[in-house]
Amino acid sequence: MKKHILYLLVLLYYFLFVNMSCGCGDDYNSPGAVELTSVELLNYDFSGTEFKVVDSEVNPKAYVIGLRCFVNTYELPSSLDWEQRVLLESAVLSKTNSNFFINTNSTFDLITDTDFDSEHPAGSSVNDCFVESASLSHDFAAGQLTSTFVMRKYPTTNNQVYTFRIVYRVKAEYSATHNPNETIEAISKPVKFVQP
Amino acid sequence: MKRYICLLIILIAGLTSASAQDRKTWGEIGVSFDNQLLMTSSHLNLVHPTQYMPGIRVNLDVRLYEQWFGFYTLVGSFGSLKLKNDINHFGELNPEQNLIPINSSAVFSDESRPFSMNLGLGHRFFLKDWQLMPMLGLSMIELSQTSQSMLFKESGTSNLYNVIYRFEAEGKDGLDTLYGILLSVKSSKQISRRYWLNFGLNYTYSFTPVASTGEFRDYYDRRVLKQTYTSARLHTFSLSVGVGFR
Repeated sequence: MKKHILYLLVLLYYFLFVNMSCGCGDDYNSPGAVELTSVELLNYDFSGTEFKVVDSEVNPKAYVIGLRCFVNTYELPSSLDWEQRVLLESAVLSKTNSNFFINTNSTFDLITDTDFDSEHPAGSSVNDCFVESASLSHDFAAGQLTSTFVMRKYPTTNNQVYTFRIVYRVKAEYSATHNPNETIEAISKPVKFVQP
Repeated sequence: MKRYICLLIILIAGLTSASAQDRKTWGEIGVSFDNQLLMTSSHLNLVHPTQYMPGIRVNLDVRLYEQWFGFYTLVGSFGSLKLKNDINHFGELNPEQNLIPINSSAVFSDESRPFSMNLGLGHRFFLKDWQLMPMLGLSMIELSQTSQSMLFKESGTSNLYNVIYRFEAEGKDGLDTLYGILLSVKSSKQISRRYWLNFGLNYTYSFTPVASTGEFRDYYDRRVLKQTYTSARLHTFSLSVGVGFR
């Protein structure tokens, strides 16, 4: 009799706790210390299901800016001086570790060189007019891109030519390839926004 | 009325009469083919919900005292909840919406096969050559969240949309265990020295509601642009046929 009750209690224990599981995270391989060396901006037309490089004009509702970040990756630990670090590779950064540069501020500015609308005159930041999507570049872009900026607010003037500039500011304490407080910039090719 | 009284007398006589059956068996291990019908207390926002789901029921009965038995059953289902056909609640596949499905990013995960576990008590009665065991227990139905998502590209613009459908325990967000009560009756007839033929009638009422959710989201900022939501309580009714070893 007691044995039966013991069996039942064991079953009850299993019944109550069988659903519990340990969700163990994947091991994270640190990419090392990533230093931004230069950037490139590209104009894309994303009206279809693939990115097409824009030659001269594009519908603003399909306009996407592609960002390529050229980086040097150094071996960790990052506390060592730049001279003592081992350079692992120089490459275009993939999206997986695009949110971290050891030598720049975490924020950047996307600046219009043309009057965009009444709130965004030439020379002002248009970060709020674009949405950044690293996954879009990974899923759709044929060329190697680090991230993309998709236009979500559109300029009021039609048939106007626009250029955009991205600006990263170098941090004073880490600067192997750039001087402190220097900027790392790139300008997009001129593109005309044409509403269909 | 007389007929019912006669039947009642026969039933009582059957239950109380001495029988040649062995009343001191330790219990039973059995396996049955289960035919499960799924029902909900109100209309769920599913276009083609699964209503019939076959499965295998494994049971272990252990005698605790006299004719009182503790039972434990595991039911594994062959079917899936088949939410695949539910897509297009937002008209996303209609040509006038100008949305192109991006198949490479589509994720269908309707393969989850619910299984359930039951634990409880039953009392065995004897009715001539038959044994009857009404049972009362707790039920745990593991739904394993069933979801599907699809990525749509709006032609002519850079807009991308995620359409996500989920069928899960309400408010659980990934932990899809439904808790409920089980009422069951098992009738058995001896077919050889150790083997019994079992017929089961099982009803489960889930206290945890199930919810059907549909979301039409912006791909870039994940804002929910359109949403559907319905919830209901799940009932299951099943008939099982199998054999037991005692």
